[in-house]
Amino acid sequence: MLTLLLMAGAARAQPQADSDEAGLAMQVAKAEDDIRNSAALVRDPALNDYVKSIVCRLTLCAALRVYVVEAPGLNVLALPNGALLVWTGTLLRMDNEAELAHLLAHELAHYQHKHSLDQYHRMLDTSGVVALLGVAASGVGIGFVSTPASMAALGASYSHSQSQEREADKTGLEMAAAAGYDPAAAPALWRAADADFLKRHPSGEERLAALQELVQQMPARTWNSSAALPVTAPYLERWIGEELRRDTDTVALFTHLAVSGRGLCRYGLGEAYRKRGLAGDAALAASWFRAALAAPDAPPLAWRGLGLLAMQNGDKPAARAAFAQYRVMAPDADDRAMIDYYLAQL
Amino acid sequence: MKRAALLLCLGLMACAMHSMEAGEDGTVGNGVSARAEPGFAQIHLAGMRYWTQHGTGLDELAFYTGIKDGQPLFRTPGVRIGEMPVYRARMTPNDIQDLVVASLGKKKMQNVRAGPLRPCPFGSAQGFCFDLTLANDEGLEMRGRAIASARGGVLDLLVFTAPAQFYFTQVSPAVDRIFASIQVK
Repeated sequence: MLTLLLMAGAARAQPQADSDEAGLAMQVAKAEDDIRNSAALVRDPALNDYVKSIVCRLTLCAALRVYVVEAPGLNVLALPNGALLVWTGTLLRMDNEAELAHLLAHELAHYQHKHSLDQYHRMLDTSGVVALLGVAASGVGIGFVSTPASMAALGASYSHSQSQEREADKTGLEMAAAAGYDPAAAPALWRAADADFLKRHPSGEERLAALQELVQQMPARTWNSSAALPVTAPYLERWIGEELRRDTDTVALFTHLAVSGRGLCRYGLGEAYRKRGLAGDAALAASWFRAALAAPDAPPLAWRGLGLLAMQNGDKPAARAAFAQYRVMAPDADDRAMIDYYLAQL
Repeated sequence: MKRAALLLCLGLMACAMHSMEAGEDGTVGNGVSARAEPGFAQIHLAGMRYWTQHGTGLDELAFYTGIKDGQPLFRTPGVRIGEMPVYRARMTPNDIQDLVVASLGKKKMQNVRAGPLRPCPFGSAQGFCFDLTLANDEGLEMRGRAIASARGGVLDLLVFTAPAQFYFTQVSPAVDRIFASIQVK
C-alpha cells in the first residue's frame, strides 16, 4: 500500500525516499519554486486575497497556496502538493463568484482525491519511460516551469480520467454547496466553458446530465448572493486585450461575455468579429462597437475599433469621424501618434 | 579541438555566423537592407537571420522579412506551426503590434507589453514602430523595439530585444542607427 502523500488541509507524511511519491513530490516542489518566482504571476494582494478567500470558504486552506497567473484562456490547476494556479483568463470568464467557487472546488476535489498521484502511477505502470520522457520534453520534471505555457503543460501531464472527473464533479459540487454557493452555477459553468478547457475536462451531455441530477438532489436552502467578481474590474481592459491577441476565434467567448452588458465586453465582441474578418463579420463588428458605445461605461476603444474597421473597408469619412472621437475620448492613448497618422492619410 | 567542437555545434544547430564590417550593407530579405554598426555579427540560426553584438539571448536584432498572408512571423522550437499566430494582409499597424506581442509570447516570453505605437520611416517606405517590455522564461526583464512596414500585403519586421539592465541601453543606440539606415527596393 502506497503512502498517502497528499491530504488537503492536513500535515503530510514524508514519502519514502525511493517511492513513486517522492519522485512526484520532488518534481512538483521544483515546479512550484519556478512558479513562485515567475514573472507571469499577478502580485496584486487584493486579487490574490480574493481568490484565496474563496478557497478558504471551500475547504481548510492553511496548507494551500494560490497563484494567479497572468495569461488568457480558461485554466485552473491544482498541483498535487497543494499549490493552486488560477489563470486570469479564468477570472475574466466567470459571470459571478459562485461559478468561480464551483470551478475551484472541482480542482480542489481532484487534489483531495489525489488524482494526480493516480495519474503519476498510471504513467509509471502503463507507459513507463516513454511517458516520462514525454513529460520531461514538455517541460515538466526538467527545465523551468515559469511561463504560462509550461504551467499548462504541467497540468496537461496530470490530466484526469473520466471517472476521476465525475468524482471531482460530485465532491466539488458538495464542497461549494456546503460553502453556500448555488449548485446551479456548476452546470452553467461547464456549459459556458470554452473548447480549450473542455479538451482537458471532457464534458459531454452525459456528464452534464449527471451533474444536473446531482444539483437537483441538493437540499433546498438559501444560497449566497453572488455578484460579479468585483476585484477584476481594474484588469478588464488588459485581460480582454490578451484574449483578443490569442489569434484564435474569440467570437464565442465574447458573445458570452457581452451578455453582461459591460461596454468593454461588447467592445471585445466587436474586435473579435473585426479580427476574424469572415463574410458578414464587418457589419457585426460595427454593431457591437456601437452597442459598446451605448453602454453606461462606453469604452473609447470602441471608437478606435470603428475607425480601424472603417479604414479596412475603405470608408474614409467614417474612419475619420471615429478616430476623431477616439482622440477626444482617449487623449493620452499610447497609439495617439499612429491615430494622428491615420487621420492625416484619410 | 575547440574549433572542431564549434564546427560540430554549428553543424548540429544549423547555425552560421560571421562578423560584419561597420558600414557593411546587409541585405536582410525581401529587398530590405540595412547598414551594420561596429561590433555586430550576423547569425543564421534555424532559418532566421539575427544581428548581435554580444550573442543572441543577450542582444538580438531579428529580421522577419517577406511575411505573406497566412504565415507566422517566425517558427519556434516546440510549437507546432499551426499554433503560431499568423499575419493577415488586412491587418492594421495596431493589429500587427498585437501579432508581435502574441508571437513573442509563443517564444516563451512573458508579460509582453507593447507601445507606444507610432509612425516611423522604413527606408523610403512608410512604417511604424513601437517599444516592448517583456521577461524571458527565466524571468529576466527585457526591453525591445520593433519597426515594421507592410507593402502590397507583405510584411517586413525587425525586432530588437535585450536584457533591460545594461545590454538594452548599451546596444539600442546602434540599433536605432540600423533602423534609420534601412533601405527598401
